[in-house]
Amino acid sequence: MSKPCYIVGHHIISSLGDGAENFYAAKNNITGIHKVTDKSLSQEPFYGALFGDALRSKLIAKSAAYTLLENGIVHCIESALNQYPKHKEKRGVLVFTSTKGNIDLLNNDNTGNIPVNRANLAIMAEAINAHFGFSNPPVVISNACISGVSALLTAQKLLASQAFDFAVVAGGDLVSKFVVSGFQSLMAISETPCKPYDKSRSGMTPGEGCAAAILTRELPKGNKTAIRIIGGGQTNDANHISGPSRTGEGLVKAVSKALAKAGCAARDIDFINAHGTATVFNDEMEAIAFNRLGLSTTPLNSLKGYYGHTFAAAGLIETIISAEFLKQGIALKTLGLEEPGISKPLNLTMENKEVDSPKRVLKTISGFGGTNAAIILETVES
Amino acid sequence: MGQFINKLKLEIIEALNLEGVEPDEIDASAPLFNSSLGLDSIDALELIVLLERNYGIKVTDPDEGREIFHSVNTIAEFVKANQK
Amino acid sequence: MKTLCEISITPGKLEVNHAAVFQSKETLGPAFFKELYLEMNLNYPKFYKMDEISKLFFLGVEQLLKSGKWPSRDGNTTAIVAGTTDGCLESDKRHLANITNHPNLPASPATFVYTLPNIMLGEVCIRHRITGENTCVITQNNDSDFINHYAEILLTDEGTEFCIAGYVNYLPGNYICLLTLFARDLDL
Repeated sequence: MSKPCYIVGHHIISSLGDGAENFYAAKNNITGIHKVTDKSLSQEPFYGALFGDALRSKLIAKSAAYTLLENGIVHCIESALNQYPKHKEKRGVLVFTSTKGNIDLLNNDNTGNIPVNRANLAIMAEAINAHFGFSNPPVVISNACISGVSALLTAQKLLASQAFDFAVVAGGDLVSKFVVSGFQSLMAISETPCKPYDKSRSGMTPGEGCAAAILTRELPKGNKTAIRIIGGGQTNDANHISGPSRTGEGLVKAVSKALAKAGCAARDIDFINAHGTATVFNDEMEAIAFNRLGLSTTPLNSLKGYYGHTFAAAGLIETIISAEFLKQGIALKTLGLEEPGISKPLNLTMENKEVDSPKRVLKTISGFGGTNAAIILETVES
Repeated sequence: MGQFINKLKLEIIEALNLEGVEPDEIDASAPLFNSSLGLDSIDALELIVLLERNYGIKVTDPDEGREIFHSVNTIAEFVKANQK
Repeated sequence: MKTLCEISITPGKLEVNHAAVFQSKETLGPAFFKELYLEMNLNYPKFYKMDEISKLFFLGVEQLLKSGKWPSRDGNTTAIVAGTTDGCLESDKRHLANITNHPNLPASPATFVYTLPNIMLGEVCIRHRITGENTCVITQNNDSDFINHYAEILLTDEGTEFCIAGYVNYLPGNYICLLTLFARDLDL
């Protein structure tokens, strides 16, 4: 079994807003997805989940020394650290993640004052690390769409090795022309807001977001609101660089590893937040994998109908949202889903669903390069 | 049509990075996919880009693409019928 | 943990356990990688679709596993941790050039799928049927202390017997691939 660690503070920004606004919106099944007509992102309009104007302005105004994305991540880290005052007297490490970071700095028409070398993720992380004055160099993970969960599991491993007292797991991604044009060339973007697991699903919706989570090795005294990470697994399908294994090999293995590390069986999971990107192949692969794992009757949802697919931020945002709603005993509605269209049955949440005596949530995620990851969280009272 | 078929083969070889494959190694009537060429879904999408870039033809439905890209001959026929 | 083998690829040169096993006057990346591929006698046409850093990593791992006598049935118990500085920058620039210079045409999907630094790990996993944890770390320089420490952590997991660890970077005119094959120390 793996050594547990604790999430003692967190913060999210997304198309659903800043911090607590996210939880309010999610509980009320509000979507952050809207039609995007900005021609600098795409000649054709598309559905995306971008930051609202107020949030965007707030981030731009925060500091001219940082890019919008950096400001977003710094804001999330500041807000999360406020929930863990002890950080000032402890040894911390920043575990940073993004897929494309400040990619727009490479544009020919970039005339801003931020040095172009901040398009490099290590340099970007170092700039943020220096802002907070953490004594250790940052650890930068870039593992495609599983990055957020990958970073949490890497932090858990580093904490277990005792080199640090706490880890700040933080990162994010923006919706850029770079990414939108790429997914358009793959014909992977849905012409309507995405419909996870739905019969008529036709692709993903790109989204942007930033998040930070503070992980500690020990549970702070008297803390009853922390979430415990009890197991995780990461694998590769060894099948194709951009399409999932049709039999869900990698995901089955990742979840099996996570359950073994957590000392749990499938029946011990109270609900599942899956990847559910709403592409034809991903959702079908998950249906097959969860059936193979004996998880077909466990309440299951996808959050992509609220946030879109926020790439590196997805694993962080969705884990945090799922953990918080675990504490409240709610499995959120799978927004966008109207009529399931997968070949194996899943217990998909068509409305917000109350879960009896909720203890554990399984979060899964898959990504380009054949990556898969799973993480299991439980409430501290468990 | 023979010259056009040869030109098309060269364009396909270049677009799909089929290093070392010569045009006369590709049978114009044989299936392109599920063949020894080892083409996958990304190659199918790349062929869609080839049609738009080289011939101005937009294919928006991947299922339609499956029929068009059956063989070099079917691609050639489609181009001749739809070229702008 | 035990070290089974080390390899390095630098411009025009392949070394195994610090001894040169192949050298060429050709130092330019793409041309040298093709020479090395042909020299290794690999029948793997997918190689030609890869971007530069994926080719470099692929060739490095190919030599590493062969010289390290890695049992090919053990993909399920093998993990990978690879550090890089510039990652997929060449593919990033290619994709950017496509969308900037041809704004009215779709981008190339074959280029776009390589615009993630972990894709090079994916290619190697496919080739050798490696299904264990595979993590891509971005570092400003070769941080072998961290990478080797992380490999050690991965090998404490009962399900992991082998770990491919190292640093790989590609820029036009300057490339490097330094890899180690570690194995769990069964005596412990």
